[in-house]
Amino acid sequence: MLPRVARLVRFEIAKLFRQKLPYLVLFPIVGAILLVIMNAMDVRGEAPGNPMVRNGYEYLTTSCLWALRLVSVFAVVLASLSLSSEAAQGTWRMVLVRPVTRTDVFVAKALVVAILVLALFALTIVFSWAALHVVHGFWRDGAYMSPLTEGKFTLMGEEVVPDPIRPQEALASDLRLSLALSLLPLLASGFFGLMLSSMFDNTGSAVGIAMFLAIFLYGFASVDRSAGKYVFSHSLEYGLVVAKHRAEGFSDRKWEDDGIRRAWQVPLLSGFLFLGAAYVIFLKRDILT
Amino acid sequence: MSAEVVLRTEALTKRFGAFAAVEDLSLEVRRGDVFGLLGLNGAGKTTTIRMATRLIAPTSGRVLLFGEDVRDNRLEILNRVGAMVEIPQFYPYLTGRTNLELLLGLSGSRDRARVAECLDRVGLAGRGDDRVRTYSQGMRQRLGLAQALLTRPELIILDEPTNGLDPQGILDMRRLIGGLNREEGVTFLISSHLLHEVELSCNRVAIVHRGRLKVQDEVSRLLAGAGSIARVRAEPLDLVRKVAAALGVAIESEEAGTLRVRCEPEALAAWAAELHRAGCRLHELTPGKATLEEYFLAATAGGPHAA
Repeated sequence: MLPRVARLVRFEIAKLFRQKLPYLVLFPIVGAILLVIMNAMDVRGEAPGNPMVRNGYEYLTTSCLWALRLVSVFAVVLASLSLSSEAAQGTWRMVLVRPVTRTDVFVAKALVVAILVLALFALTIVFSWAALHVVHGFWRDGAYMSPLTEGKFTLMGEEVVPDPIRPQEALASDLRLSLALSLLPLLASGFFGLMLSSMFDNTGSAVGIAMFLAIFLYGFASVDRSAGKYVFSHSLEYGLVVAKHRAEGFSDRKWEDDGIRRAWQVPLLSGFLFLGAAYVIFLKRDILT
Repeated sequence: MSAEVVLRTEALTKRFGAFAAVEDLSLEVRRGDVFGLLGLNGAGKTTTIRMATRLIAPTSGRVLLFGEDVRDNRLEILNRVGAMVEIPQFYPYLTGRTNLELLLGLSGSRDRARVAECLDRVGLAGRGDDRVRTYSQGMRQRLGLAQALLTRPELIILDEPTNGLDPQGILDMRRLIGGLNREEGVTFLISSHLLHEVELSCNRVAIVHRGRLKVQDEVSRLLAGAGSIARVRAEPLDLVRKVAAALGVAIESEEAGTLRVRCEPEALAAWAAELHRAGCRLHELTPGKATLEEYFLAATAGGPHAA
């Protein structure tokens, strides 16, 4: 089975990156990152120690938060095209008369959704990091200094002030944990899109409903915070919001074990549920007519 | 010794709820055949082909490809089969060449030369690097055949391959099928409702009607058994009919004073003499050959030639 799935993954990736849509979604993501990073200019010159003064970690966390919110919606939308576009184009027959099984095809599609989500996730981090360094990196004493300078509270602009309360190592650790916690919700969003995709034979319905549900779930989770904790896509908020508050310095927010556990358990369970449902629907539906 | 059977269906049945799309269908395609599966729209041709390629599972019965049950060994068997099921659809944003390269990749090969060869074979060498969205229906049909050829299959299954082709395209397709059959020994199973095409392309044929097999035989034998059709224009018609009845000549149809009668060519002269003797004025007597179309219409109408 593995060689067949590997061939199908190559096949899917070759198709995916020859389409415009995966590149088009990069524009709003990059836009969100740049807006947040560029916004740091506004607080230049505020006094060190003022809680409103921000640092590189805060900006990195905030840009990742906004960009990954978009990635979460795009993951649902892009994944919703995965199976439905084959049905809409009528290409299933061409693929399934080859020596592959439906299970091979499904596994490959799910893997490609995961790869796409991981790629968008990685691009978000890399671009946020790069943008932060390009926009706010600076030279001091003849050497380039990163806005994430070790052991320093980094003021956007030219000054670097030590911050004993928020040492670099603690901020870096918060950022790593928050990003790790945001990965599973993103994957679950992708598999949610895949499940929707398995239900529809036309891409318009799949994308429309996927977008509506993704935005609805996000809105619902924001309005009803107690129920929102159990919405898979909203779990990515927890880690990034905590890390952002801690980086800002004017909140005494701490990591909660319950929150961390929920942030990976809810998307993990949801992801498996969506994958299982998508697989059963895909096998049972008559996709050839 | 009879030729090896490459595709056999045994009591193949497919039901969609209470509706039987295919019922108790037993076909036999032998190595080297260009086998025509004939039927009206909705006769069950495509359903049969879908079952043969295991795109759908039969309700009962089985399909044997190269002597093996396609259920048990589908993946290995499909490596030896090329298929074009219904209207061929490709990824419109990719070029014809890329579509073929990707599809060939699914069979574990990256032989670009083979892709170029297949494009050339179907007359698309000059358009291979254009996106499929710019292709006409006929070009997509040719590309569909090209993808069926990719893995050098022993058996090619084509569902309505001449759909959407212009007369030149139909002729090219016929030549291509004939060439592959003669030169490379490829066996073909072709479903079609274009009777003239099947008559010209196929050596064996099965007629299916409402999901059931009506007849399966060599085209030449079917036509020989069907006798010859002659066109007769003579007056008075009542007398002509009487003479025909007396001689046992079957009148197939009558239109605007012209009769189409079934009788052997050697009997025509005797019949003409008899008409003359009876006082009929004979204006036209044209001997002809039974066509598959006539045979098919008779078979699907449950007429005298229905099996």
